[in-house]
Amino acid sequence: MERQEITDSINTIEQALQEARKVPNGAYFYDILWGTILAIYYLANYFSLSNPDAFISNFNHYYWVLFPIGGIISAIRSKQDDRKETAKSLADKIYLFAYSGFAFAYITLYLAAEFNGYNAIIVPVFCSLLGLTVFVTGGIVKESLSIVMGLFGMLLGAYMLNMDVSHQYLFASLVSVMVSIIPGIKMMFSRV
Amino acid sequence: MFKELDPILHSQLRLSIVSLLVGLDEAEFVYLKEKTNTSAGNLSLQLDKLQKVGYVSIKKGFKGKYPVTTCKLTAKGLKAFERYVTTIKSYIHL
Repeated sequence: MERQEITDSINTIEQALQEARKVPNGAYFYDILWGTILAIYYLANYFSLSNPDAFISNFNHYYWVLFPIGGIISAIRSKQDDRKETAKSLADKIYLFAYSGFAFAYITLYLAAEFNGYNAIIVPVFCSLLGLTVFVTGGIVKESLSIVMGLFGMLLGAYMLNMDVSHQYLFASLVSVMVSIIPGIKMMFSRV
Repeated sequence: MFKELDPILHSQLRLSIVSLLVGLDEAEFVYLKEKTNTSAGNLSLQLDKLQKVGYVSIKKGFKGKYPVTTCKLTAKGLKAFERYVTTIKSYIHL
């Protein structure tokens, strides 16, 4: 085997892998979008519980509307990305599976907690699961800020177990900013 | 005694295609053509060879009104690539 052939093969593999790494993923957009929606949702719930007479409290049965709005915006963005992209990064698939798993775990735990009357654990569990998801995806895509924030989310989730529900909402809003929005903004500028 | 390198992968263009696909979930024909700097005819021929040995799966569809060909590395293709890299490593450590 010619040494030159081997060197050429190694160079080809290296160049191709580097090129593949340049394919951007759009995770930052969803991080910022859903982080904002969650932060507003939890903050609104906090204000409603701590100030029942405040004007915003009149709408507390309609806060859920934020989620379908987020779903519609996400679907539109996803379609736009599909039209533009000529290659899909592996990170896209990692995010898809990680966040689908997070949503499935949270929804099943939420339903089980509601059914069994363990309402006080719903918000802390949400924060822990979100922190775990961000920690794992951050580790895979080598985004150190996501790793740190994910850890922080998990710790705050555990700490929140001792709080009353209104303060859990306030802390969940903070977790949404720290775990989703801040890493999302960083990813937007570094385009992981 | 060194192991033989996979003849399917031991072609710069096919190796380049497979290496690109290793780092991606999937890629369209136009992306591969741009990154490998080759003609559409040659790329098509090499993709056909990779598909025949089961290293790459090719899906034809539409993006709006335009036809689009999407390529994806199969599990067999990934194993072949890993074997190829391992074999190359054994050559380097002469």
